[in-house]
Amino acid sequence: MRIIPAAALAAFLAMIAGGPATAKDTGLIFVSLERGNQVVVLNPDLSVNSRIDTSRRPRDMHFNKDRSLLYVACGDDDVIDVIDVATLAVVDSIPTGPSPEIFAFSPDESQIFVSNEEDSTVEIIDVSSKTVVERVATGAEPEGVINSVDGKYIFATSEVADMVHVIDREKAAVIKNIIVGTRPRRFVVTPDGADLWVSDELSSEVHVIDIASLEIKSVQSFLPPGFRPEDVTPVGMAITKDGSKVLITLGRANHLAIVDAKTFEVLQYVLVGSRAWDVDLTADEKTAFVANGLSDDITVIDMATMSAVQSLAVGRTPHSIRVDD
Amino acid sequence: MRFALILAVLAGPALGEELKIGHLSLTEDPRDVQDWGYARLSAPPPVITADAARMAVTDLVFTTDAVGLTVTLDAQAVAAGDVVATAQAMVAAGETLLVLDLPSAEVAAVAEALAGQPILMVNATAPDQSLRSACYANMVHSGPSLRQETDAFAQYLRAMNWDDILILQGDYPSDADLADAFSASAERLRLTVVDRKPFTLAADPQNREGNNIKLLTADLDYDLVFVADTRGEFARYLSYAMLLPRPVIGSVGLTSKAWHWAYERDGATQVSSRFDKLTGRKMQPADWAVWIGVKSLIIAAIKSPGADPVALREFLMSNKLKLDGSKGVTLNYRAWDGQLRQPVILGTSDAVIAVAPIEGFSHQTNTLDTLGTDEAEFVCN
Repeated sequence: MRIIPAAALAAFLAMIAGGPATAKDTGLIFVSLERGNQVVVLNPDLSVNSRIDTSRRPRDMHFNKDRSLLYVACGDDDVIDVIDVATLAVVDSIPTGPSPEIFAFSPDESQIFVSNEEDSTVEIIDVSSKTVVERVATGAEPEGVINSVDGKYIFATSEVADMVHVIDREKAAVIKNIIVGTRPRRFVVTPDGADLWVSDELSSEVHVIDIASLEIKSVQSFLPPGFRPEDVTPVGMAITKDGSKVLITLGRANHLAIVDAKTFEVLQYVLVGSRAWDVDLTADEKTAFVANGLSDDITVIDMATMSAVQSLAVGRTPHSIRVDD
Repeated sequence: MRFALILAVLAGPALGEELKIGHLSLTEDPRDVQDWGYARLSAPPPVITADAARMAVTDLVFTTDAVGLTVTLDAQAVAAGDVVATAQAMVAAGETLLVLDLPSAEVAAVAEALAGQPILMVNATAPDQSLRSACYANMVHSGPSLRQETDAFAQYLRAMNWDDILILQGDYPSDADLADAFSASAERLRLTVVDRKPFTLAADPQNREGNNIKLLTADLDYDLVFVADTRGEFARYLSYAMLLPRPVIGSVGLTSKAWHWAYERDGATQVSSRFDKLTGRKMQPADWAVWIGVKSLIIAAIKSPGADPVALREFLMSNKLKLDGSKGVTLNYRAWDGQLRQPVILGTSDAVIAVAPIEGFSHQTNTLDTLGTDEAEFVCN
């Protein structure tokens, strides 16, 4: 932990720290380190709380609903590790297919949908029995996985096939393929369940798909000042609870775009670290955290001023960030 | 499926259309590592790039199915003397898209024989500058040119401030080509070539200066040695045997290539793993060049407004092509020489050290054009 000299910054950090830590809403910040085989846990004041050794190549992470457990997909050991948030230890492992990367829970948390990028499938795993119940073939290198708010569809990107697969959850079958931009990566679904946003890393675009009709309704691109379109490689996204703003990491352009979700107007480009990937918001949405894959650090962003307030080295290749609050 | 249908209507491939791709290689490619000296080398398995071509077709099958495009691949390996006749027969059979994994002389022979034909050839693995400056109207080049490779070295050396270089050069024409390309790259970035010395493999005592490693590397100082030895038989024994303790780059040591199996950024691991699983061997630079060549043709057929080879070539050389080669940036082909713009990987036998363009090298239009012959200096012969 480095000393933070500025009084203003200290005040800001005290603000995001909130009250004293309890078992719930600890305010702990979890960062998976893809090449560190660890999840580093930061206190709300950004000091390092602990480093949890995980299976190899930890990547996407999700809490269960009551946030007692944090699930971590570990790509090189073909498992999803389960971390107990109270004890900060790995307590269980769920086997998956080869190289799990991104996953999502079904709305009732009974199932996990996980992309296995090395055998081109999305698996549906029963959480209680830890068994694979369905395996759906996708295009090569499936990555982003998310489900519709009503739980009817599972969406998955194929980075190589340049498409979004629409999987009917009940049939466990692809019912539609939607061709989007080059190398589609991640998703957000708007809180009203209407729209699916897809980041296209290599065509520097975001596609917005109308979930009711499963048609593309908008294609947007973002260009921070001084960059060329080919520098802009959008990957991670987060959306505010009211659905008004979407945060999009722009990868090699080293910026986060904060976008009005209705007008697509860019409210602010925030300079972050090298190869900005994942982004997450605190529950009060006053702070955003960005994982920077090439500079091995995270950037802390004050959402009120839409500016970066601190960078913090965390370890080799930070992949995902989740905040327990 | 609205978008897909629009593509099917606007772009070439109507439902049921067939894309016929031919892949041509040699049964015995002289570029495969050979054991010249009965040295019990653990030579890597031959690089059968037809596997890479097949992988590209399989990778995109979801996409080609979605737009109703059928892709067929006909891979033929023949003796050097039969290359031209085979290429002509492939074209006669309707294979208007040919991916060539051939040495320079064979590529040139095929290009001359098929000049003026309404086809598109992809030279995947011959890096020679002469094939670029020949400006064949129906060819593009998917593997990096020698200059792209040597410019990558020069950027790295400049960034590291290792600027005094001794060049050692073998007696094969391809050795001279490599040394020439490196010299030009060094000159562009103001590196100093302290000397350029020929070496020979023979042990003739009257030519001790040319075959004795200690004598070759004595009498002057340098930061490192660039060895141009495309057979590798001399270079293999150079490291740790020179008079001065200096690193060796070029044909051994640090190499500069289109691909490295250990590259693990940008989704490269997945490409290498798929290849591994398909073939049981590690993906080589030539495999990547063939893979991206076939992928270029299929992506162009899906996204180009015209489906004939001339229109495809035009599309490949436009900014409309956003090709994903799993090297982190979007790729397309240069309009002036038909060369694929691409990052180049600097690696050792088992690790990736750097990827060029090295940070800090800029270009007025596209950073990838800091590697290879730029538009202003390019001349068609």
